[in-house]
Amino acid sequence: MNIKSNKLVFKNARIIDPFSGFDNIGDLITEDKVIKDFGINLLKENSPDDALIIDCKNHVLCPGFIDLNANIGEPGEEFKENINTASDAALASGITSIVCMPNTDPIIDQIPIIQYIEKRAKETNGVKIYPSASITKNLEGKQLTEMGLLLEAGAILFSEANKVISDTKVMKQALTYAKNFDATIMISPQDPDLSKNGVMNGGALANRLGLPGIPKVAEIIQIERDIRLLESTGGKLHFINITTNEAIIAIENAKNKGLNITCSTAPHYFTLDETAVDEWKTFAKVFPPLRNREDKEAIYNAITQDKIDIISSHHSPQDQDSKRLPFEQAEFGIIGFETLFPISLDLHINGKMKLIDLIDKITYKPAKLLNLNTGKIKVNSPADLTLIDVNTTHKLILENMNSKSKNSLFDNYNVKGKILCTIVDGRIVYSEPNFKYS
Amino acid sequence: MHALDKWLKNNSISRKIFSNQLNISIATLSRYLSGSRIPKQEIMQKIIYFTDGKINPSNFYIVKNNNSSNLKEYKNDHLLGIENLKESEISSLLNRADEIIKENRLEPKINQKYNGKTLVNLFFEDSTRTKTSFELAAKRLGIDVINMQIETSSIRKGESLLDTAMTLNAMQPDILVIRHSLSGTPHLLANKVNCGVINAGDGQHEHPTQALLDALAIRRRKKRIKGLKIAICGDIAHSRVARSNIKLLITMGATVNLIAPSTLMAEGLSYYGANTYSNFKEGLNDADIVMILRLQRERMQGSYIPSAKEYFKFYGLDREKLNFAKSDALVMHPGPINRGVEIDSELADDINRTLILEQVELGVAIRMSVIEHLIHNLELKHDEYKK
Repeated sequence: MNIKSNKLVFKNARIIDPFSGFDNIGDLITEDKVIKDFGINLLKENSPDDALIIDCKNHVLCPGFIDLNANIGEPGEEFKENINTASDAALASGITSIVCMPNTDPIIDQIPIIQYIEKRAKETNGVKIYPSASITKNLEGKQLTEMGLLLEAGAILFSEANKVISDTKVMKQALTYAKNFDATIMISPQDPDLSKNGVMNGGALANRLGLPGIPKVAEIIQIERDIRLLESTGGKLHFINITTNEAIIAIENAKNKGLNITCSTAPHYFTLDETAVDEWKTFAKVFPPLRNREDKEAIYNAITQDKIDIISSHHSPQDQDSKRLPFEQAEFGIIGFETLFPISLDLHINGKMKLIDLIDKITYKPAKLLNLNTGKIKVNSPADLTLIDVNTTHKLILENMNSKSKNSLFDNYNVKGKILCTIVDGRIVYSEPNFKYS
Repeated sequence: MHALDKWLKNNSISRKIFSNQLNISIATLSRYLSGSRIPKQEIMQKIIYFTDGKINPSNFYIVKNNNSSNLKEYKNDHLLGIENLKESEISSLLNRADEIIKENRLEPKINQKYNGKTLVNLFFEDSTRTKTSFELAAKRLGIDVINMQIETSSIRKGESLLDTAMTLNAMQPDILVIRHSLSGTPHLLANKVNCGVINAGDGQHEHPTQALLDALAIRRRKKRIKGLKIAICGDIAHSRVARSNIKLLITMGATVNLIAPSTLMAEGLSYYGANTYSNFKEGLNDADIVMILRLQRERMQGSYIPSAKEYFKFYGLDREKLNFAKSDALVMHPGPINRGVEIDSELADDINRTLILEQVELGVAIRMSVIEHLIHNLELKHDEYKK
């Protein structure tokens, strides 16, 4: 439902803004596309009568979430997800901006593909979509894409999606060349030779199930190589999908050396472990794979200790035909939008992490990495907001999810963190069916 | 005592008189009564006539329903793997196979109890002995067998796998025997079909009937499994035979030593309680049984082992190395054999030391036992469903 009012007033909200550290009950006013004002007891002096007034009943109002790592099916796999369904799912999850991966069909390595996605995003008029472009042409790991031109066309960063650049020299050139434009290189680190043919975490369980494994060492080897390269080249490097304790240590050391390096992980990596594979459950097939319990706990703790900067959804929709197969033939992936916040909220509830610090990892931190003027509550910055009930327990129901594909492992999970309302550029683009404005 | 024998006694009719009535010799009647022969149709009609239908064909076409008490131990509709099977279940499968051998049922014989049942062999991977063995087992039980011819190339698309399964299911077979190169495939199919599913080997996961027949061979020769020391040597990492055998033998109380070069050893199999060795001599020490695994050709080059020659030197079994084991140790191999790679050719042919051919022979009995168990369970389920 889109309210055609250019002014919104949120009263009695617990406004949380990680950027400024603001965490208080107060009011917030938006006008047109931007935040006009916010603060404690704001409405006593100035109560606009031409605005839609939303009583937030002390629920949390924070910047809209920014998801760094999403697959939206378009172009090429519209039967799994399209920009409309992805947008609906994202907005219902409080996500107002997403970065989509370049491993589409055709691959995002040329300007027209970026333009196509931007056109489709405009038509959809929902979530803000920032396409990432591939680092090398056709994701082949050989020849660099036209980074400068792609950036001008709207590419937000450069990534090889689930792949890495195995040719060390090409990777070195990519980091060096991207530096010309202050562009971020984003890598999902996993040594291609060690992970070849692998379908789950390497080790005892894989052996018992008779499945080829991806050993843990595949991650750290790739990370250490790329860190060495970054040391010699400089530039901005971001690792997504961190799954192992060793990776966290290596990245922490690199940060201490002053390298411009950040990392992120996804909720399934700190909530689930390899036992989710159970007896060839293909929904638990993700890349990189779910690791063992120790690693899962290490990732969880690393977030609470701020060693992992960002949480992203790793949203990878797969239709039934791609999953109802023998485990080795099934596609990798799990949908992540609608579970991103509710699952992550456990870090606050049981991990004793401050709510503002958790929200930081899905709002301001990714905005900073992407150089976006959003992800914060600041006068005159875009009114991208989300209103959340963090106290009431509800059940995640697969059927009710908005994604076109329903490949989630979190069916029937009891969680908190229900999204009540999502605002993009001052428009209410989602509101929970039972939520009343006043 | 045969039901007809009982009837004769109860009615005080001697065998001689009855044979005269039927116009057959006493010897022939005795054969009917001992079960070694079955009356022809015209004789059968006479028997039904003279006994007022008290004795009918079902009294001749086996089968010892009262004997099926031990079939009850195994409760599953499928045999997907050894994992999670209890000792009693494994024993039930082995005991029935023993009975089948005793009853001499491996000889071609009319057996109508399972007439009208259908078994489908669905082999997505090449197989000679397993497929033939299942076919033979089913035919010995009077079951119709359909062999699906599947080109490996046409199953690359997964859709067709489930489609094939659904198509087969619509034909309502009783037993589906499946072999597939991907682990877990029989489990996937078992969830989709209404018939009993037997795993005839899935990827690197399990090959339960092979392990059962190996156990049967061991038990028949050594009179027990419990307390034996069994060495399994070869490509442990990629072997489904090894996985099933480890689980079965340990469940049955044997000590299992796994021997392989470290590149072919699988981490985590000690979870089941197996010991691992990279030194052949140490692993073989005191073994009662030496089980040699087949080394896949594609592993012989590349990064697993440098060459077949080097493999044979350190991990191939010959008489000299067999001396590390007990003096009466027996050698087993699931076949087909790579002579001179994993086992010395002359040793492989020594029937006093190896069980290799016996393994093939027992394969039929064990598969008959498995099929009987599954059909028994499926029928129970159907009966309950009818109620």
